[in-house]
Amino acid sequence: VATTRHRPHRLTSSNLSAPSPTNDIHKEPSVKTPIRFPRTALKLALVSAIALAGSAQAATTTAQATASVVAPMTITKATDLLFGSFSGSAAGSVTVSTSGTRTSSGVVVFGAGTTAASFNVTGTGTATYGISFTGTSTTLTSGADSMAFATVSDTTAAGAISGNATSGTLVAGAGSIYVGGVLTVATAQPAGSYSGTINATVDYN
Amino acid sequence: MGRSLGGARFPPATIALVLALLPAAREACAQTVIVLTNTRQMDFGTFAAGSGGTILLNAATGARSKTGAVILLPSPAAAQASFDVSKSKNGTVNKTVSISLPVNNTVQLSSGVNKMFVNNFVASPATIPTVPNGGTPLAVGATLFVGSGQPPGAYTGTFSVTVNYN
Repeated sequence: VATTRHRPHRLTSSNLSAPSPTNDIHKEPSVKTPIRFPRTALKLALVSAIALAGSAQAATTTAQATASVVAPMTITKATDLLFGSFSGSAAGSVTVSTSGTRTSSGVVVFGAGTTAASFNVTGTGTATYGISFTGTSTTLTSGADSMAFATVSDTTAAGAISGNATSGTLVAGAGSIYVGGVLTVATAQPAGSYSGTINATVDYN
Repeated sequence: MGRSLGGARFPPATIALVLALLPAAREACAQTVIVLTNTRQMDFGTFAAGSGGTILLNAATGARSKTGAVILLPSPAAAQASFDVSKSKNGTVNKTVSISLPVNNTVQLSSGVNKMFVNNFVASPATIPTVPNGGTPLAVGATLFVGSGQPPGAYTGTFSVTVNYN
């Protein structure tokens, strides 16, 4: 004997259809909203239920990503390197230390006002940085006359008279570079005002 | 507002639908489901932008490398992102796991109005044959694209990772 089971018709179109609006259409406009709402709710429920059943196994999580960009380094000149005045017919040398102290051999120095060059450096925190003097003059010139020049440098104005700093460490984002030099004076070096250029370059390393 | 004509009819219809679909949902919930937990954020560390370049976080090792003029500064916390892939309960699930990472040009780190793209997401391991009891780690690396003169700042962003049983 075959039996037929009758399922309750909960989802027939007759259930889905809204009551005829003709009952209420002349009463007030807001009646339209509750009449249309069931369909929308139904669609939402359908979509969410399908989504739930179809992707219940997927797991998604969100993670944070960060990066810190620091300001580029800057360098500015604070003071120039000044060897001051000297004279003599013999060969010799004049040295200005990184603290600005002048010494000499073979020539007579006079006058005051010698200084080491200084540069102010800025960057981030306590970063280390490299120092280069690429492009610095190897001679000081006065017209066609020249004297050999070499830098001495440090980052503390400790009075160095030889060697060059190749790196430094910032303190609270700031630092300094001090540059003295050694000038080689030839026999009968012509009188004149000699000059050259120091190029100091820094970058994080 | 206060009218109940529509409202009175709406719940039965909705309840009927949900009841009709609940068996499928209930069945899914009863299965062992995959679980994904973020255990470490992605950190590209500290750097100077210079004229720009890229920073790669190796998915497997977390090692940081760069191209271009970017200058990497010491960054002990720099690392790839880490996740833990586990399952809702112990037991054997003979299914491989798919890993979905962000596609290119959809993830950005921002600092105010300034932005950088994070692209080329890589998962390590690239595939997960099976999720063991107790879970298994999943690391994710990516490449940060740094503009020339990228303005200084603390940049942050988020990205999503999805895993699923195949």
